[in-house]
Amino acid sequence: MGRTYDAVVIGAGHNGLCLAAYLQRAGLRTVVVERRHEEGGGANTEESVLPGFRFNLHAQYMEFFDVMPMVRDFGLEDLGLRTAMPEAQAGIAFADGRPPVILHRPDLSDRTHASIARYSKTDADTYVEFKQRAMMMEPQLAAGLYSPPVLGAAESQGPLVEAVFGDLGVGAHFLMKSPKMVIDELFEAPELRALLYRTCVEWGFPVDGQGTGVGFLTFIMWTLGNWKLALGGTHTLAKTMMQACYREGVDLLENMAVERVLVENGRAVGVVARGEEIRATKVVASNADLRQTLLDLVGEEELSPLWVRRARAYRYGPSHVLGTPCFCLYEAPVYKSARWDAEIDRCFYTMVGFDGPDDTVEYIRDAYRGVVPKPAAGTWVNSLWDRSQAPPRRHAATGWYFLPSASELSAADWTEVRATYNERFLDVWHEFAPNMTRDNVLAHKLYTPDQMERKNLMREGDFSNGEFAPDQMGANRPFPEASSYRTEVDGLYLCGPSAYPGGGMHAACGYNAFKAIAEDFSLPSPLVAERGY
Amino acid sequence: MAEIYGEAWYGEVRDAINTRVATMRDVPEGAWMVKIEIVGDGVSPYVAEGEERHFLVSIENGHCAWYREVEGDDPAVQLSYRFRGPATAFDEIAAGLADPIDVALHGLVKVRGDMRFLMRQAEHVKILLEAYASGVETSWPRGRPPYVGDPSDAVRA
Repeated sequence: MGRTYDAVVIGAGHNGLCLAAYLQRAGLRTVVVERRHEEGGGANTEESVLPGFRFNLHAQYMEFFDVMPMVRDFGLEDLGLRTAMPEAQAGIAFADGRPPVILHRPDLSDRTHASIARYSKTDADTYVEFKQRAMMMEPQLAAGLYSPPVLGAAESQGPLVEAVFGDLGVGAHFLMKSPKMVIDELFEAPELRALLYRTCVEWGFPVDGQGTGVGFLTFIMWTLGNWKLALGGTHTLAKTMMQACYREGVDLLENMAVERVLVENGRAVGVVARGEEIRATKVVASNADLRQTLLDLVGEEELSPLWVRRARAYRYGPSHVLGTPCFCLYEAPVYKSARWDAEIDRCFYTMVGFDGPDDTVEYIRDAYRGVVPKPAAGTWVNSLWDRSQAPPRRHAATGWYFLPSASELSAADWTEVRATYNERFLDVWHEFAPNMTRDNVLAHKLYTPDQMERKNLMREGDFSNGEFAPDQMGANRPFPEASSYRTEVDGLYLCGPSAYPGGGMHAACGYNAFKAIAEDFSLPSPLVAERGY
Repeated sequence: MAEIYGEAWYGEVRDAINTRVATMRDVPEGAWMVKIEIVGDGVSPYVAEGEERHFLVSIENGHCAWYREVEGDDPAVQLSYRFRGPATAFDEIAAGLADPIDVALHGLVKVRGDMRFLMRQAEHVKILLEAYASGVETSWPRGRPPYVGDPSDAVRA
């Protein structure tokens, strides 16, 4: 005899945990069924190279904690969520020892201004002004993030950006531009451009992707420099969310791969996991990716031809496909550029390998077209702020490479990449930070997109589980008919990053899915007047 | 009635702020150092064109602890916020003719510092701005806004 709950959530990624906590609090007996031995999905931290060196294999910086409903609603800080917010947030170093460009925390915008002004006073003025304006939009941007997408919202961004940036020459036509076009129009210093291009790509906004440039002005400028480090690693977020679930009374079943979603008379009534039926009287919600949910777990026979076509047409990668290098170090990097500004050696996120904007663009274009790019990376040395992430007098450095989608290379090719790419990057790193020699490295490892796909079911290694392009964003995510988190199978909901707003440690997919479910089942609304969402 | 930007005027602004803050239920905790940089724009008669007057204001637990006129930046002072703009803009705010939020939103007065924090302290910010804009009786010995034409017009206004 199987178990029966009111709600079954497939996948204990942070969105699934978020949804489960809210469902249980709203009175639905809820279970989360997880394939792996551990919860958290992309919020994982592992000692993957040597004992005592902790590495975040996917999610790195946390920019939404101040607006994330679950943090407050479930008291995650009381459950152990602790953060640090380094003063120097994002920087770029140069091999020839030029001054770095460093973007600081929002409360240190004078320092940001001074850093950019080494290259261009105009750029410094522009950057700080745009950043301040974007920060003032936070209530609106946060409300947009934590609400189901609205049809026509993309078009309404025109008046919004005009209202906020209009006197700076930004009009509605910016909605059609690519991030590169926007950055090139606003900023003249190649060093700043190189840094900003990269930050766009971090969020899956392809530099050449026309129609996504406004995301730079709003989303990127809002979040850039608001980054926090989760002490103990990003898995701490997952652990505290899990604790919140337990405290509410959610059941979590691990090592239980869901094999299919049970559909009876057009309604989702549960799942089969490891041969066991787990019934749901009201809700089945999937944190798995779109194709897996619809085509593999539900099955084409339960879907209309339109939904089958839509699911098949949904695209993964190439814009958010990562490789994560893990380096166990004796010393943290000391950059040549530090002679101008020592803060670059204590910068939370440091870009290495890009000597100018052309390097950044070439790197990204190579990765997107399936070519392993010349080694370069964004790097973190989290042990500078959190001694729990490395043994005494040692440091743990990780980073993000942008690499081709998993299917672009053969298994043998990926093996070769894992064997050689970190070494090649070290050669580059050494040019930027002379102490980054092989003697400074105890051991290292590279985690590649094909491994991410296998381990966390991030298709193609795309951590957003779906490309960010205008036809797959906002009310078009994952496709227009499914953008309300509801599916055409009654009782089946999407709550993972294939749904709006996409990948990232905001838990908005789970939170918004709860809003949809709450509406359908007349559950208490999570809306809090004070925050407005 | 104290003269605009004079010591007595700032003293009255400070008292006006503190009187209002005393009525607040949730006063923000912590200390902030705010610098106001008033740039002569050739229109305001209170700061000569090309010259600047800088004031440092210390806010502690919501209250204005002190203010002082300073010259330039002191590297030892860690600023929380910097407000910089043309003298006419500051004059108009002090005369209650311009909305300070609007002035900042449209970039006439440049703000540096954590805007998110300011947005979250809306009640406190409103009190500070109200005290600055309308909290004291101000004398305008060299004319008051709105100014018209060139600086000499302003003096006659």
